[in-house]
Amino acid sequence: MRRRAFLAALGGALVGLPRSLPAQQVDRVRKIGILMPYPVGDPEVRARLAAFQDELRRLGWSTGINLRLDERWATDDLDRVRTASAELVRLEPDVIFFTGGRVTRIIQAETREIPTVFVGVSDPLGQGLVANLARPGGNLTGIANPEYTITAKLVEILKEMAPAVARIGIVMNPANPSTAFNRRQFEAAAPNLGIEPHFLPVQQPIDIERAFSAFARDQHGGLVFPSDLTVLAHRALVTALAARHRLPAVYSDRAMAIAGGLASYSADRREMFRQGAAYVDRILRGEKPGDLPVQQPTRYELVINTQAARALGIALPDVLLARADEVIE
Amino acid sequence: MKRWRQRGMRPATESAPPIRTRRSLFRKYFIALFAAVVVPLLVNGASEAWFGYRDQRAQLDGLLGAEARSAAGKIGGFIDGIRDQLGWMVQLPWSAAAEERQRIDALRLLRQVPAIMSLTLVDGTGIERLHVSRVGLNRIGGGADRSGEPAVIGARAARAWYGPVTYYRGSEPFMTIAIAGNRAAVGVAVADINLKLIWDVVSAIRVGRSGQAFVLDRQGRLIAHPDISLVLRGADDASAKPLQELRAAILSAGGAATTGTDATGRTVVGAMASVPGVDWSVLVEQPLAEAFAPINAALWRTAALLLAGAALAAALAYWLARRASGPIRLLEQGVEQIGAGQFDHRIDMRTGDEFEHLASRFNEMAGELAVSQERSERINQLKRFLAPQVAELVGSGADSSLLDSQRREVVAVFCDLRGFTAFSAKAGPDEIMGVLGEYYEALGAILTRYGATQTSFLGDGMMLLMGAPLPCPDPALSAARMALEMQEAVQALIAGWRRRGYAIGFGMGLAQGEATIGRIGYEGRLDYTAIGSVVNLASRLCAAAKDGEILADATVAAAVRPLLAVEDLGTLPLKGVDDLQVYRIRESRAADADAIPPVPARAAS
Repeated sequence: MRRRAFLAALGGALVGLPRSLPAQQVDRVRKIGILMPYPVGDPEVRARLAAFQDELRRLGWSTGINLRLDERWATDDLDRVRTASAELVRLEPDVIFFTGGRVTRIIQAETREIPTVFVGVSDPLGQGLVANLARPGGNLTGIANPEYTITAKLVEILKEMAPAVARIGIVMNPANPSTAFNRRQFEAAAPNLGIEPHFLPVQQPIDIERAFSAFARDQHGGLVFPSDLTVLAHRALVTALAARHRLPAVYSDRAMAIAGGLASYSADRREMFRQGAAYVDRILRGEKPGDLPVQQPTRYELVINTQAARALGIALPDVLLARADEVIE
Repeated sequence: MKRWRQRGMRPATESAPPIRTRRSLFRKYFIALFAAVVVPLLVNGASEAWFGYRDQRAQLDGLLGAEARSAAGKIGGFIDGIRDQLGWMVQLPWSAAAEERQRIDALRLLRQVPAIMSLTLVDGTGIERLHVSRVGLNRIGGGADRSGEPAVIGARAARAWYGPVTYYRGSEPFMTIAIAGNRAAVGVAVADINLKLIWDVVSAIRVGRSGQAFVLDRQGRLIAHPDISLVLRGADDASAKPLQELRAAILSAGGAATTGTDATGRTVVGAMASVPGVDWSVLVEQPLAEAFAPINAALWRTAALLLAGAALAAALAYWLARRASGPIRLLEQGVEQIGAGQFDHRIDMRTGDEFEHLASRFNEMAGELAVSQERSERINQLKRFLAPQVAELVGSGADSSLLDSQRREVVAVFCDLRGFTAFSAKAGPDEIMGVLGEYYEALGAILTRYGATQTSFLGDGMMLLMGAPLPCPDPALSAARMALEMQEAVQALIAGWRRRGYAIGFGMGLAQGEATIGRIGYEGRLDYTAIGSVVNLASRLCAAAKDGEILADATVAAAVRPLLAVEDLGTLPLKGVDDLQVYRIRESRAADADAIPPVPARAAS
């Protein structure tokens, strides 16, 4: 509970301040445009949006009373993302809420006026999306993904779980702007980790199938998945293929471990959505997105799926299980 | 003047216009009574408000100070908790087998303490043996020499070392804590702490209803605040300025609770306490309105009580003033009525206090005025036949029996003008009344002076009594002297009249003896007179007297003889009286009887 409260407040659910803003700002119905680059109604993303809406409701914004949500589901097809983005901008919402680094650029191209709040964008500073983290300026702020160094951490965890792994592939969509950064980090850390780095670009399900089977031809392979919405969208396929090819894999999303992945190490996405809701609330109450610092995740959670481990024939050391924040059995 | 005579009083309608005093008296009473209640009430209320304010202010200071210390304790607890957890890592010396154990402990520590972002263990020689991180790669047996780093040096010197707060990428606050074991061989644990997690602690601190706490480091940079975005704006953001100013204000006030503004511009009351070790300042702030709410409530309460008290005082004063001025008004009306001559008016007052006494006094006074008026009227009536002083005496009722019928030794005096009938036959009414006016005016003064009682006018003459109703020491002598004076006064007039050609004379007769005296007549027209032979005798003597003569009987003559000249005229034949010895009284040694020209006696006129 405290943790949840903490994360909510990271987003700015603040004592006194938002409540003290003029009531008339709260009176009229506010519009939030939501752009989710996932297949329509993806249950996990739907659950995250539910967390977002719950938080808004807790902060005094209820759909049908003083709030209208306009949702657009676009999959990771950037053309569809563009169309959805343009549609949302035409609706002139008070805030646009979205997720994904590649979506950021498209929305930024559409509007520099409407406040926009992101969740799950890697390194917004390094990508040049914001001028600085403390005061982003412009119309963009949000909750960032963990830093790229966490990719090496995924490898470290994978090596701990399956010490035999010597070849590790990093699986990402090249359309993701952070792919290049992640890949560079990964390849730079590889010698220290004593592994052979591989890059497995995936854009659609057929790529995944092809890439995994090609990579699995050689022995001692393992996979790491930095945060990528394409991977999440096809999580069932991804985890199933990893299992079929007997590739131990560590993901950047708890949903992947739930879907059957071996393990995940990341910040909690639902909490990030709640933080995003808190920022939306502050903007609806009159604050400028440019004044709200881009937030970094503070807590990381290690989730281990023992079923997947058993299927892979991996005996997990107790020390590792002891460190896990959640063990799926 | 007519009414004055009728009433014997100045009527109220003719006095100066009545002054409307009721209102001013009412106002005076009202103000006095109101002030008597309200002034102490005000003084009490004001002093109570002032002392209450001071007490409340002191209480607020104390309260906020306690809140600040409590908050500082919690923040200190956060740091101490991390320090204590780190202490576990530096208890056993490094050995070959220790590395794996230390690695597991370190990873478990990270799991246990979310704020620790990375942990580096340095052995007794200052060589890094282990590094575990949340987001970075772990290193085992890194081997780098860290003995020169401030964290290691600091921890070795003082067991615990707290690094300066740094803002990662200008946003997230971090701090390094280094802990050394109790001997050099166990080395040093160096941890990077994500201070964002103090939010857990700082956001849980509530001061009053909406007060909060925040933490500044020694330089005044914001480390923790319930609004985390203020912290994430980095060390140099302007939004933290008011917080630094609040701290400066508290410091310059010697640590007492001070008023300032918070990051959102609210006016707040702030207090401060420091966290030992890290040398941070924990400030608590409460919105001014909220902090002063009890004070304001007390002030409002006092004001309301004062107002209620004043209203009550006004009502009371009004009532009392009405009570006081009402009877006075009633009295005034009553007195006005009485003053207007309505002596039968009675002031009806049943207040049961001094006013009722006063009213009854007024009523008594009215009664006495009625008596007095009655008496005054009686005296006026008496004055018709009594000398004024006698009339006063008789009228005053000192001896109401004076006028009762009785037999009394009196001197009867008769006088009349000679030749008046002939004169009045010839003269005009003006002349007649003029002569009579002069005549009676001259006589009136004298007989008043002698206290003679005039019983009746007989046209040009009159009858007087000496010795009744008041006894007289020597009635005969008084009567004789009065007669002489009267004769002298009238003779002076006669001289004038004769010059005008009026042949008028004046004679008098005196007799002493017992007579029945008393009032005769009917209601409203009463006369006081004497009845008896002495009256007849005096009448006869008067009739017998010639102009300028005063005739007396033997009794009178005997009484005055030592002092006045008495001439024995022998017996004169008087009408209805047998031979009687008659005497003429004159001034002593006066022998000018012959000088008086003979005037025909009344009987002859």
